[in-house]
Amino acid sequence: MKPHIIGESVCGASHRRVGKECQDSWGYKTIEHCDSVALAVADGHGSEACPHSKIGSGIAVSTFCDIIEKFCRNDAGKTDSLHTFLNREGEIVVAKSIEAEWKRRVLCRHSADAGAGRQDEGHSSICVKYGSTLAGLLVTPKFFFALQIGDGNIAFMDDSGLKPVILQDRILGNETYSLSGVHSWKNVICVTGRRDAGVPHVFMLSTDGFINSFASSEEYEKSCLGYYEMIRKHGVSEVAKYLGNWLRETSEMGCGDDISVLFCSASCGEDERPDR
Amino acid sequence: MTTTRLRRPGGELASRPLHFFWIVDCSGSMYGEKISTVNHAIQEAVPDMKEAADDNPNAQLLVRTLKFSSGAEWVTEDPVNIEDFSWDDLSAGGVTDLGRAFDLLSEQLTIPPMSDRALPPVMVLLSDGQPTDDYKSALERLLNLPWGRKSVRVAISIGQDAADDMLYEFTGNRELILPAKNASTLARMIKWASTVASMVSSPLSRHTETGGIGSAPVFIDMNNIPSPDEVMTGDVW
Repeated sequence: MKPHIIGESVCGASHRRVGKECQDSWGYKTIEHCDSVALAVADGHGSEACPHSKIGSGIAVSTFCDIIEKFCRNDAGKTDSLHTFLNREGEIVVAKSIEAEWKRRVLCRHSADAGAGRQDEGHSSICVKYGSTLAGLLVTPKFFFALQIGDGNIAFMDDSGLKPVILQDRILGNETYSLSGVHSWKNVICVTGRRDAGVPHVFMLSTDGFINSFASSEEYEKSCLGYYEMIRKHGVSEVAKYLGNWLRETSEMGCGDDISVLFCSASCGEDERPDR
Repeated sequence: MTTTRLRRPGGELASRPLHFFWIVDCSGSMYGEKISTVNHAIQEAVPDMKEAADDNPNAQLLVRTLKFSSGAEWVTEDPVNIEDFSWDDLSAGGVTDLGRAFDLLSEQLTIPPMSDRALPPVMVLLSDGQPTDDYKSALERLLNLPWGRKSVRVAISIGQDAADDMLYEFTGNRELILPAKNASTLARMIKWASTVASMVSSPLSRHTETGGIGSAPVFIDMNNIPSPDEVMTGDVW
């Protein structure tokens, strides 16, 4: 499997107006020994209570990729058992591992940055300062595994249209579940599914600044499918050249929030070459 | 060889709607200086609301006025963009059917007509007395709506006879009950309340533990609420 991945984070229009940096992060990790890739986007909350949420979102992405790699390594070469494990334990074992590791890394980072600073803060209140959502995906040759806490969208697109990978009740307004919450693993939603790698398809991960910029869910889907068709027609490298500007325009004319988008095309056969 | 410059994939973009409601007690006890101060102060606040809205083109501020006395009635039936909003002077007379006003709000905060991508709605209730109808069940229905729970609710308590316990049931937060015992304080409180829209319009997200079930979300800066004792010129109501 040779995945083609492109992604971009752009600072929201409303954040640029007040000189605030982008709080989103994205990233991916190729897991060679099981021919897979882990990818994630994360949205740092950015509110006054979360002054370090940019760091928190970066840690969320790297934590997801590293934890997923660890579980893949434990099941090296046994794709079916990995699938079964993630399907059964995703919302408990994997979710707990991600919460624990994210908090451990946040506390280490905070301690390193604070030096001999305040020592009287509780761990919970430190973690809140780094609050972030997380939407992650593992793509193997035979199946995918998606995990999400908080806002964001993971979608699957093929020639028949768009299917949301994770359906969740939308929390109205500007509130979201967060990795920083107490027992945040309880708010994690996981989904696994079989892949037909012979059929061209693209996974798309996005932070909520993307969907919130469209007039309706239908317009969001129309845009996602537009990206899909463009990737199929022109290839990921060509789309990558424009992606940053398009997302900046989307934020300016939309909700003004930071936007991160990540596309993963990992189909097999002739159509595996979206860069053609 | 020619290269084609790609254009952003379609899908109609839009700023997020922010619904702002002035809910004004027009019962008989508001007659005279009280209602004229309300009329004047809100008229004065509108240009500042427009200016604040201009600073954030990613939120579309939509304003409506709801009056209640003997019954309740929309002064502005449909949401009006702040750019096009103008205040129609209200007059006072009748009883205090607040429950009926809550019912009308509930109809508008249901999805649809509300969109699930909106920003939290802001409701500013101005009242000087005790409701005369069954407001409790109507308020319960309002606060049980998803957008009712998520709304930011501010109350301006006019005069010494206002039912602050009732206003607390509405706001869910005592700090968001702004006491206005005379005309000058009422004008200042209205001016502050009009700025709440700009505080709510930021796209920054906030962590929730419960998914929004519970008390009113308070993420507005309450540090600059005018002190009711700061300016006390004029007669106390």
